[in-house]
Amino acid sequence: MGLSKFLLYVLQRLFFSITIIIMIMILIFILINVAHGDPAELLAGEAASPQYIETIRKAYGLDKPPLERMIIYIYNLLKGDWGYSITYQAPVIIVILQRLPQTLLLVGVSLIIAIFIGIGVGIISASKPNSLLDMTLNTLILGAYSLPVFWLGLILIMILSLQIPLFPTGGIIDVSVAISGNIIDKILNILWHMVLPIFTLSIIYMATYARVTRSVVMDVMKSNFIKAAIARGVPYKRILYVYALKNALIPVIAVAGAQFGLVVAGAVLTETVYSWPGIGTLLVQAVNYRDYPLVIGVLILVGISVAISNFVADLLMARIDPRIKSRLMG
Amino acid sequence: MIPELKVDLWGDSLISTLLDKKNLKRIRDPVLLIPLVPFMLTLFFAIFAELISPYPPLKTGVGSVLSPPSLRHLMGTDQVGSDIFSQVIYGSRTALIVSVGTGLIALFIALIIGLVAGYYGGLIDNLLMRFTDLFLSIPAFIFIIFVLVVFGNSLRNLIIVLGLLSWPIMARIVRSQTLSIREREFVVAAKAIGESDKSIIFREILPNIWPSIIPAFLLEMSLAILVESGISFIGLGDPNVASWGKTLAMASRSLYAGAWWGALFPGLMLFLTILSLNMLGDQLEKVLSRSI
Repeated sequence: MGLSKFLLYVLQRLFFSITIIIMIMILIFILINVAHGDPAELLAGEAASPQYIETIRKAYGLDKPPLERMIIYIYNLLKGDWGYSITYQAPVIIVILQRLPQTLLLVGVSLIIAIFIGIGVGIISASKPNSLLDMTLNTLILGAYSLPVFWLGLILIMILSLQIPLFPTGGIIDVSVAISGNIIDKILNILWHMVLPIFTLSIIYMATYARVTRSVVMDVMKSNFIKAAIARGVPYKRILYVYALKNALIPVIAVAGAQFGLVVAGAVLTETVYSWPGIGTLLVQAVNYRDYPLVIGVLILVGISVAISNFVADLLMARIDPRIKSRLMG
Repeated sequence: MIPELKVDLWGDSLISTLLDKKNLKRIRDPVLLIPLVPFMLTLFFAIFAELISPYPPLKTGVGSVLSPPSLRHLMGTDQVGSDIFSQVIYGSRTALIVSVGTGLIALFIALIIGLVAGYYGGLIDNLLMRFTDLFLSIPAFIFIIFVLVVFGNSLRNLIIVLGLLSWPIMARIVRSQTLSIREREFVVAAKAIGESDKSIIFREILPNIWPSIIPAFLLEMSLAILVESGISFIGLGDPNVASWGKTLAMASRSLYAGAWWGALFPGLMLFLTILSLNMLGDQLEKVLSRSI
């Protein structure tokens, strides 16, 4: 009984995530068609020959009526045929997959740091509401929350790599090390290049999670079950770090899952500032060269990651949140 | 994230809440007014740009290349000899237009969807909220980049697409407010004497949800400024207007020449304006939720 309900929930959320992807694909199709009379020209790129445009037209079924065209287009996208990048002279999906690991490394490490520190700072801030410590932390959190990520990046480069040359100004690895260094040198060199971008991105992400944690913990601390725990003589530290933390985790996961688009936006701008060779710099390049299939490819990739992060967050919440759990298992 | 408000104002209108003596005292508290300063400066720059700006913002060669701050160029010049102070001033106007423009579009859609969903409830509510969830899942920044690439990077296009993407959070707030106000005596009474749905929504419910919308609107404004500057930073800003993000993009290419001024001043302006709006939103939210 409980299991089938859980399965139904999983299927429901899966359906929602797939709907996100399909909706983004439909929007892409509609907007391309609205913007340009002939989408084949757009997909073929600016300096394409008439023959090539014809090939694209045939390949994407662009000579068919709109609805059929849309279905063919989406079917192609789902199949992994995301078109051909003119600037890279390679299929879009391959160009993107080559850049993906670097971005995952940057975003993954930053997110882990940000979630841990963000929750920690939020709880400490909420533990003594309106104390000097709370006010200071809260101001710092709001400050970090208001920082434009690319400006923070510029300032850090200015101070920590130009004024005091501690870190490189950008890139992922020095050319000399990439050619001749051994594996340990390479890893150390990459780590050295990662310090500033990860610091920048972590601060920006952290602010959001700290804000959410603080407001949730403050709410939870007012609730009856905490009062009951205090009355039972449970130590305050245990209440804060076990009871309140457990409750803070749910909205933090919800926010992390639902706001994955913001995570991506931060990553794009950070990569741009530090010339980090990931999806973000790829996108900016594609924009500058008006490489439409590549821009669309990145949008689809991000759409898929948003859908996945939504789905994972939903599953995690179902495991942690007793309210969802009891609804599903009870 | 904008935390959902738990404000329940018992039918007070925004004005009477704000004019309540206790709140007035709190608002007059000078410490609370400090956050307003940067935003007021932006507003002042935006309105009087023509009068204050010493040079046309985008004109190149009004000074020598990369000259540090001086009396002639208060914030220095960039690598093509444009005046950065003038760009900061006109950038305020761009920031303000984008934030208010998107805010209004988003507010309009949020009100329609939120009021209808909250008032009618049931299936309509369910469908509209699923629709809202879907829209919330669109990765806005990347989607905006796509739209600007396809339709052309103008300020108008940016405002429209950002507005069309940023209503979901406000719509949720409007809905939850409508849900709670709908059950209150004066609405029930209005229904009992046969007021039409339209009249109840616009005359009974709408005036009571403003207090919870305003903090969300301010946060929306700050987010819009952030997005505009980011879009300009990666080179998709409107080529015909000055923008803080665009100035920062120029500055990022002259950092190596030691030209710190191009990055410092526009960035500070951007940061302080956003901080100002966020603090204002937070404080207003606190004041309004305390006044119950």
